[in-house]
Amino acid sequence: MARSIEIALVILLLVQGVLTVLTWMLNPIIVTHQTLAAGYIASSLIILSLITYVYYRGEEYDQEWIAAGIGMIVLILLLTYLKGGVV
Amino acid sequence: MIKLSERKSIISRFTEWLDENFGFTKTILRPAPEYSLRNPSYWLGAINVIAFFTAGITGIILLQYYEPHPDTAWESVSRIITEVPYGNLIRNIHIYAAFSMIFVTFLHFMRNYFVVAYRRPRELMWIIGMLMGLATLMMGFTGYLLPWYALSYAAVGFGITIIKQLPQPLSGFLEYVISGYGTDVELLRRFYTFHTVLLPAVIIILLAVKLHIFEVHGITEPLSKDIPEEEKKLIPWFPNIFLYFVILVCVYIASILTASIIYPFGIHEKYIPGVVTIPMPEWYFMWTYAIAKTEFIEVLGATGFKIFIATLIIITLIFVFLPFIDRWKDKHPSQRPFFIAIGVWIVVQISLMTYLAWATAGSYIPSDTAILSIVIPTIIVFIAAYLYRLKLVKPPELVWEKFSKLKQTKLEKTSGNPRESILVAIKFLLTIMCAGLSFRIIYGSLSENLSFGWFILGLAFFAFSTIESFKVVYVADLKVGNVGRRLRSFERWFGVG
Repeated sequence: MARSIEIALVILLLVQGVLTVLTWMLNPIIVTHQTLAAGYIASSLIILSLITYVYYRGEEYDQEWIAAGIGMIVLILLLTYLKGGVV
Repeated sequence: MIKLSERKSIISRFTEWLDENFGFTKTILRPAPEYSLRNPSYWLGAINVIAFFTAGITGIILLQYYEPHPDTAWESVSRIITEVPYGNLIRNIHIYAAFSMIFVTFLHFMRNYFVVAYRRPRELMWIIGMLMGLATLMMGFTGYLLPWYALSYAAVGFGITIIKQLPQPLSGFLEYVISGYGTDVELLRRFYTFHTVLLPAVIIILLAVKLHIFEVHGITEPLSKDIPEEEKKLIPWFPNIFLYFVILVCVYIASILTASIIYPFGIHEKYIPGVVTIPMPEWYFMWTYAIAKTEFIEVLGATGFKIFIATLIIITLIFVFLPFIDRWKDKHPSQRPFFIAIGVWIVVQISLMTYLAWATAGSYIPSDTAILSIVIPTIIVFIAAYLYRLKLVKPPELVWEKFSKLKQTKLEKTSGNPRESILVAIKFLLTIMCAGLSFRIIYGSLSENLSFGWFILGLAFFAFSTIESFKVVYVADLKVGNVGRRLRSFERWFGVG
């Protein structure tokens, strides 16, 4: 596996960890917090699917899918903060 | 002593341990050909199962707080939103999972219609699928009443009015099954039982039978015979297809969560006895509602309703027994223009009728509008099919020529350039944001009484941004040399290859 993709996956795992901690800190009753939780969980799931994809394809992964996945994570987080506000 | 380089990774050892315990590699779940993993349309049924279980799990959570009584149902839903931890989110996931299940069911149905997946030995699989589709629609219909909205009560009342038009004793029997002796308490309790027990049980039993047939026959063979041998090789269910499913589940739930961020569902007004509300069914029944509220059906009164019901029953029966009706020898789309035309006509007609029902909420659809909206698409679609039959137009070839040119384009193969990846990510992001904006324009034009021009603009913008987003991925594909493989997949999907 290329060094660059290994580094990218480690960064994604760290981001996933941060998102999990942020989700844990939210108040589940407040509706805007629920919106934030939805965004964090959705981003986490995209990261999980990217990691699974790389593991599943081995050396034959397509770079554009990883790029599109990262694009989706950024988009989801943007939408989350747009709709749920920054806490 | 084992050298460090010879040791297996933690993931590999964990996978082997799981396999030792569960025997995944020895189960009856059959392997699938590699080409099926390159095309998600082969897995629409699987996405449907994921949607069903997502709706089921969230539904079980909601059941803990919901009270199926006319006096308290609306209040309990309100409490779920405001007092239950993550209640609003779980409710949104449940609704979006149900909607996506209905939408994917329709896609699955149309896809299998176009690729003729109902031929021997899959006739019963098709019929079971159709029954599951009807059960899914009934799940939607029964679930709509549960929050006890004025809107949903009026829509269900409209449904019961339709049932009353059926011949006796069928109408009396169905009315009793659905609403008992006509009290609201009984109506809600029965819908609740249907939604939470009977219909899920029916779907699970049918799903088990359908899965069994699927395991016996496997994936429907593609229409094209020109498949490279390396793509025909069978991929084991575990871990390969299992991991593919993990990706599908993650992306699916992420999409549902994103939808609930963009457009969260609120709560409508409670039904109060005696207060008349305009019936407004959910989007998936809008097209039937449009037919029922056209002027000429309304003018004909009871006879009009009977014509409407007879039409619906005949269309449903035709599609349920399609495997025994369609005896056309050739399966390739290019040799079946009229079957393709009927499929396209259905999609166009349903979309148009849905729009008309939405646009004319609270009033009739004038006869001339209804007739034009049926006649114009019919003429266009069937004349196009006829011209194709006469070999006067050849759309697939034209598309094919265009893509062949792209295929021949020789671009320098690049690999693993992080800058390229970031650029692709940014471009993809921008195009998806444009698509989102176009949705906002379309939604605004429908709900905020903007002019029809805005609706057309939104559609055009959506088409442009979708094509652009595909192009971004496609050009990236060209650069890394994957285009040949993807084109082959594209060819098979459209049956051009």
